[in-house]
Amino acid sequence: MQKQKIKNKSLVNHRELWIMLIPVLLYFLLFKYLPMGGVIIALQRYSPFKGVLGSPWVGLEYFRQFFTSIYFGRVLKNTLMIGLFDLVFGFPAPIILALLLNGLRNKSFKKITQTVTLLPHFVSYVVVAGIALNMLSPSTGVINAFRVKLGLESIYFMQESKYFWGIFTTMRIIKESGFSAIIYLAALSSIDPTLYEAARCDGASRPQQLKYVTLPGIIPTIIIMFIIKVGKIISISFEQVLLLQNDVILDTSEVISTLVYRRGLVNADYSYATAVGLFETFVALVLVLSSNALARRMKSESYLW
Amino acid sequence: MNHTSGSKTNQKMEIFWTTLIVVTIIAVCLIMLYPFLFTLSASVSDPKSVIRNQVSFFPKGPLSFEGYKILFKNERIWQGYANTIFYTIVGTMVNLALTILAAYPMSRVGFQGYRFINIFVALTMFISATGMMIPLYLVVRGMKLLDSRLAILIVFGAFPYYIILLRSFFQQMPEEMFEAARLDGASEFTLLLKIVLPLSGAALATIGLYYGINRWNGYFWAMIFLRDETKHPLQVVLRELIVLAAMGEEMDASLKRSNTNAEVIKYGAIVLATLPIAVIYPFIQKYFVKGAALGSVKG
Repeated sequence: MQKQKIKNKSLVNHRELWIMLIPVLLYFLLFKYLPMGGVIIALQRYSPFKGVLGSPWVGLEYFRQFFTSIYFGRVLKNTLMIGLFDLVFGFPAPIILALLLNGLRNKSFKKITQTVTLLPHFVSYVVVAGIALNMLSPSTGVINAFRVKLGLESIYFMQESKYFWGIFTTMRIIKESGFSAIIYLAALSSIDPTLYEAARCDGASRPQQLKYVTLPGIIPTIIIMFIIKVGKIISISFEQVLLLQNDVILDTSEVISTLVYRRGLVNADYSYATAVGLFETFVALVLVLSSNALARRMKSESYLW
Repeated sequence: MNHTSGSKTNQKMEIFWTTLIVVTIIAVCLIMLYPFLFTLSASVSDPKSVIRNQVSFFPKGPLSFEGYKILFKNERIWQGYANTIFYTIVGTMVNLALTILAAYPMSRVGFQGYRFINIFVALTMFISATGMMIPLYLVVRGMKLLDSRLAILIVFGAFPYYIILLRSFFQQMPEEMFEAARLDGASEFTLLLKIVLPLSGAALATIGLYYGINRWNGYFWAMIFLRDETKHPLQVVLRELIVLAAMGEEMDASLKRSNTNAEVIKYGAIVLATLPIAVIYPFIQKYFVKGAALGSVKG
């Protein structure tokens, strides 16, 4: 009897559990680990006909080509600048939105407004980009119609490089703020309501309540989200950039990932594109790991307080 | 300062701040809703007023369904719809099946492979999509899966993050329940099917919803993997119809379009693509918020 109790743990049928895992293991091996191994073609002059085993080795040739090309500086700059725009404008937006939503007293109004601000997140980027392009169009766009009414001239927004970062960031903010705000709303709802009562009794105005109760309550969340966001600064979703990009404004809109797409999938320069992708992976990995480590440390510290 | 006047100014300030917040949030909502309202209005406006750029808020001219009439006859749109529904339903089922099959063994106390699987799964989260783009394409090509619907369904079979989320959920179930059932001779498969899954409705709905939205909205890999147009999901069709068309027009704005209906068709297509989501949205919002908040706890 006692023996059986001790062996309770081994009642778990390991063999059955391993059988369950077979499809998943296969999936990860084929579509995650096999491609990871496939990055080796960055060191080869890869030819689809010769395969990974038959293609000649060229060492760091493709990395050298990328680092010395005019693309390197341009693409790195665009990637960082779009990431920076997203950080400077896109990071505070959901915080402000959450504070506004939290400031609403009427429950049903709060619910309706949250529903509205969340909605754009559900809509695909294809649709959002399509709407944006149509609204910005010089001939039939509302924005230019408005400008013409004001006596200004139409602007070819998508043909002038200087507008791209702004347009891209605005699109992302409108689409994602409501969704990102959820995290801050969760943090806000965990603030002890008696703190507000006490503050009100002491005669604190709304701005003072914000300064002394609300902000201190969500600062840990803000800091952690910021650190995580900084870690992702270089990893811009190429699927989003690609939708707004065109050949005329490549000088400000080409980022590392769209370069990989163009050279690799459009021009079939597999090895070169893989080398560029590998460079991004390396930088992104360093950034994400260090930001995660930092965030974890901050988190455990905030538990101590 | 006497007490009553103090609270009066306080009250005034309170009203001021409340009004400011309400006005700001209404402005934000209008900014977010306006593009959709505009699109809807333009899609049912007189095609001529759309081309003359006269629509700003509400439909202009006599209500016209020209665009929709043409769209309803467009086979690619319907084919795209059908494909998207297929990819979303079957794809999400593949996603959930793989996620459950990974999460369950990982959640069992005493499972000897836990550490290995955990690292095996989590490691892949840190590899950037950009770095994997070309090798993944070559793997899929090497497996002769290009131009096959199967590629869309299985290449994005499970996301490590959701596996970890579901594993944590399974771990919270009381262990005694499993032990009792095992003593009664239940196999792990029975445990999963008869005990774990029936108790996981909300968690599965949340994760399934995230997978589903991802399936519904995805365009990039479908565009890369599938050359056969009849297999394209709606988003790929839309990209050609809306994004590429708008780009072309931007490039050559002076060009007089021969087809007056081109604009209303674009707007109508956007409405058709957004409609199902707008209809389902109120019902799934709850799970959606839950999932996002769940993510915040895990960080």
